[in-house]
Amino acid sequence: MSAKEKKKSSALSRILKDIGKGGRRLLFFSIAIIAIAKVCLAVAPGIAGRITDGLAASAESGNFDTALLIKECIFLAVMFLIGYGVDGFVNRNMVKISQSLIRSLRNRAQQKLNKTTLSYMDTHPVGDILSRVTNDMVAMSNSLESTVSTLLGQVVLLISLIVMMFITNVKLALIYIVVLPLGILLLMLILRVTNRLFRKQNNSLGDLNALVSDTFSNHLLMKAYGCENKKMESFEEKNKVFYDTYVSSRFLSGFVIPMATLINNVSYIALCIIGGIMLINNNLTIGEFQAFIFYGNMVGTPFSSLSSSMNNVQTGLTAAERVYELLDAPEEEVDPNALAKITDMKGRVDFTHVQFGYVADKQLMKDVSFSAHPGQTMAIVGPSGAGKTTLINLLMRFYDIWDGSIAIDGVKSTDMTKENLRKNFGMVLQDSWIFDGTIAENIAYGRPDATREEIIAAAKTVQCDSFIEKLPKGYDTRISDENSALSAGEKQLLAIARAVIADPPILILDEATSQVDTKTDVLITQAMEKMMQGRTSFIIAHRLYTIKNADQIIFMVDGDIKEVGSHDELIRQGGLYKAMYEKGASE
Amino acid sequence: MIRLLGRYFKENKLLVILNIVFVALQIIIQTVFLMKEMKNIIDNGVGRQDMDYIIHSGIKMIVFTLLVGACTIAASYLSAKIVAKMTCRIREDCYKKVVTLSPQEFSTFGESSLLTRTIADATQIQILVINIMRTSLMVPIIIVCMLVLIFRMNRLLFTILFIIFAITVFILIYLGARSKPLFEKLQGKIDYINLLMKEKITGVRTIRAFRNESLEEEKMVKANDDTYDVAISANAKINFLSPISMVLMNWAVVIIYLASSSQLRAGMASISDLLLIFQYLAYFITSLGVVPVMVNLLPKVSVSCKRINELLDMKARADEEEGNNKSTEPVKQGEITFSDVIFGYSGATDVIANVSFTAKAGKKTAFIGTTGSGKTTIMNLLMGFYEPTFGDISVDGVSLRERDLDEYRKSFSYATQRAMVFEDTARSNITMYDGNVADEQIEEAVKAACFDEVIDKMPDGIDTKMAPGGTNISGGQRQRLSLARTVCKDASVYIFDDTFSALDAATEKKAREKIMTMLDGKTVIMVAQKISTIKDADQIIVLDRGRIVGKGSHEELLQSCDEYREIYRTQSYLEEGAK
Repeated sequence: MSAKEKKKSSALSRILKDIGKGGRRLLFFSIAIIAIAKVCLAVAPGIAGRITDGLAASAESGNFDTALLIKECIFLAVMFLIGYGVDGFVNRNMVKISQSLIRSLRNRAQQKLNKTTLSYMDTHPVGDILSRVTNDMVAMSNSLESTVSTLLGQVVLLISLIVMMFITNVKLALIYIVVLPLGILLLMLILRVTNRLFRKQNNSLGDLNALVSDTFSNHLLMKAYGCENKKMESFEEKNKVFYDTYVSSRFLSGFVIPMATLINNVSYIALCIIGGIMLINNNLTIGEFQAFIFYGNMVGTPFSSLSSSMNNVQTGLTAAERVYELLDAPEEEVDPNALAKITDMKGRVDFTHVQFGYVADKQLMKDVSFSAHPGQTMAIVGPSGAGKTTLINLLMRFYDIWDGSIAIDGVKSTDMTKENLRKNFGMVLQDSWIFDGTIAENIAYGRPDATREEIIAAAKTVQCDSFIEKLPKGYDTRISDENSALSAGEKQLLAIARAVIADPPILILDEATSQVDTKTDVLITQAMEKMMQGRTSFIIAHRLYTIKNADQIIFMVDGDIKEVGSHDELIRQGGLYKAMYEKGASE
Repeated sequence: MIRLLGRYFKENKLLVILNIVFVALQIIIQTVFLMKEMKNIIDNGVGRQDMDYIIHSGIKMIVFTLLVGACTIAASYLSAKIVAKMTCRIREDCYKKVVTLSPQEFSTFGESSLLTRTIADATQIQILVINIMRTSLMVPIIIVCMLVLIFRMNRLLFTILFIIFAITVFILIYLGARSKPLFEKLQGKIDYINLLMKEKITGVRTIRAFRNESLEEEKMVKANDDTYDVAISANAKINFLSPISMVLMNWAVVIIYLASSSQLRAGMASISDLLLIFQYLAYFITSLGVVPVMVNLLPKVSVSCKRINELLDMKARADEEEGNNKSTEPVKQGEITFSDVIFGYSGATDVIANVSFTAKAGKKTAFIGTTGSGKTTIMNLLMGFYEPTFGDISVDGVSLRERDLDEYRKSFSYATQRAMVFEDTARSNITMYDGNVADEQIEEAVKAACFDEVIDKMPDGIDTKMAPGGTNISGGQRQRLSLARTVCKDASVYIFDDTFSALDAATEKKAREKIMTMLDGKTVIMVAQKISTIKDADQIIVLDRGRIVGKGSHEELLQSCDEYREIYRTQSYLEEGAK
């Protein structure tokens, strides 16, 4: 078994495990009743044949047994009722199983998203993780819902049909034994070619859609520079490629249907000729002949649907693998219970010989030590891309350091629970996270039990109550990240209000850069200044004013902390910071 | 839906008719000839003990089946062609329509809605059309064929089959229609779960910083339970949809037995008749497999068609203007005059009001004001992206209403507020596909915008392909690319809409000085947040909530304009702190 197949089969066994005991029982029950149903279906043509024989005999002899006819007809009707009616119950069970599965997987996925390491989140694109928890889960449950019953049912039907054929008449059964495998071979051949063509078709459609989305998102630019014609030309080009790949893949896949018909017809013709001759020689009754016509019709269906069910299963298993990959993502280490707990934190932070890198063979911080005293303002400074977030990642224990230690109030941060550690930090990032909910809920996120008065008080502290009150529903206005009436600056004010309401002893702030107008900028700056009073603050600083007034500057380059000290100290040192400062000041 | 599909079917009338003909031929040969031959074998071959007749019939059947195969292949080729032609055409029409929309019209739909229409909705229609041309088309033809054949054979059995058939169709349609609103509700629930999941991923740091994992969990579990309930009840409506129809159609066999027994005894029907009718019935049941698929698909596609129609039916300004004799005179000097211009987006409150000013040709005019003061709106109006509600804008003495806007824009070079990048090479992004731009011109522009430092670091230099949205370079670097593009174009008027703000202080100064030297003597319009960026402009216009509150040079405004002084004061505060 190849590694890929192994993964698939392990996905399968995990699904079986995850649907739970009740689910498994329901599944096996469904499989059992569908097997019975298919056997009933396979038996039906024989019964119908007997009725036909009976009718034929009575037409000749004139003796007609109505009671027998009715008895047989009821029997046949019951067979059809079981044979097809059971599908409805199986559908119901499978929906139940797959919906419970997807529900439990979603719950587990969201727990996973709460616990997984930040390193996993940072190295996987948002779109990729998102599609695992959305599209892949849906694909997985769809496949479970629709294929188990059809796939297994068709296999059972096929086997029982073959058995019934041999019981009815060996010679005629042989026709199908010869013709059908030939047919399968042909179909597989076609499918192999079309799969390749379908991939090509999907790629060309992907190209086309990429162009559409690129053009639309730059619509204004296209208008400003008048390159509409160029964009239409490239569209026509890509559309033409799609047209060609579509026609060729569809045309070839179109051969599957005529092939299936042809195979059916070939066996049908053989049946008519051989059966006809056998009828003349009285080796076959008309009822048996009719039964074989029924068998022939029924055998065709499992064949055409088997290949599509197989594809469906493949799709589902691939999706399941991706889902399970996410569920297996590494989690932040669980802190042992007997850990130090700081209740009344002063806000002293010590870095002692810290070493760190994101990947094993690429060390960023080699030996970093500094101390932030309670109430001090620490400005994190460095050129763009210097890794200012690295420091935040380490402070919050989003990532763990390689060596050395980070201590809060003298207690190593690894000796506290993450919960306890993070409780003492307030964080306001520039790219503020707003979730779907009211403004009040977004502010109260800092402390979910906050009262309405406290929420309004926090908003007043950061002076964002004025714009909130202007909104149609005030604090109850629904906002979300994707579509809201708020500007980036206003979102950041909300994020600060969130930190105000949480009232933590240590702050991490991100100073606004551009795209915020001056007035809002002043509001944000004032709000931040107010927050920083009496708290140890780490502020990602861009303004000279903030930097110069900080108690200490943490100067970073390429993910490493190069220098730490006050403005005057660093200038006196005459190192990298001084060089940058002078370059900036001279221009 | 019918209107839209009808229009595109009409464009391929010949192919569609041919396709129908071949499908019909395929069915007729299959039923009237191939299956009928079985009855002949029983009646004439077996009945008269004629072995030769059977062999002879067998050969005929082989010919028929080859004909069926040929028809099917022809139909499948035709249908592939029809579907490809139609969907490519629908996509193209949508795309071209969007390309011709003015930004004002574009914004009434919104980008994501237009994307859905052009990509997802067109794909839905594609799936429907392939289903129609391939399989659904067969159902009515088979029904007609079967009913005619059985009607001619046996009136009684015809009546029975007709009733059973009608009941089945009714049940299918009834249950299908009942489930529709529930499935729409389900989609809404799933969309909400997707939103929650996305929030969890993008907000991972904030969630953990505030330790709100349990709050998030509660929300998700609730949404999840809701979705489960709706999914179960929606599916409950359709679980028995196809089983019921299959049972009913197969019970027809039983009923035919019961009904025909007296006819058989009376010699009014033969066993071979029964066999043939069963055969027709089986053929029909197989083809019915497409019905649940269509029941599922149709509601979705009808929504898609509606959305596409909305787009295609929109009367765009560009369409109305076609053939109008508007002035194609290029802008030479670039003297811009706004007279009492009023404008509001989509009829809401006015974003700008009573805006009047003149930007002198060859001079620098700058706009400053807070977010929402209407700076970008004025640029949009000047570019002709939006039309003023009242008032007039004229350039070189000709009103914009009199101008052919495509020609007009050729005299302008516009750096948008958000740096935009096409998924193409850096070179194409700078020349904007103008093949006549000389390499020296590109080089000069790239240097002026300080983009050369960026190019040096890219794998293929200026021919490096940009990622969608330009995400393979940083925000500041995209801004430099945008600047290079703007100065590379040979225009009479240059507009910079807050383009310098994403650059770091040093680069901003360097690029601005180089570019301004390069554009000396051209009309330049600048929008800025920072006073330092625009201090040297010949004319500064101060905006507050859509109105002009000050006009003049830096020194004049410091004397006369309160709003300007306020901006100056707060910016000093940010630079130097409260004193």
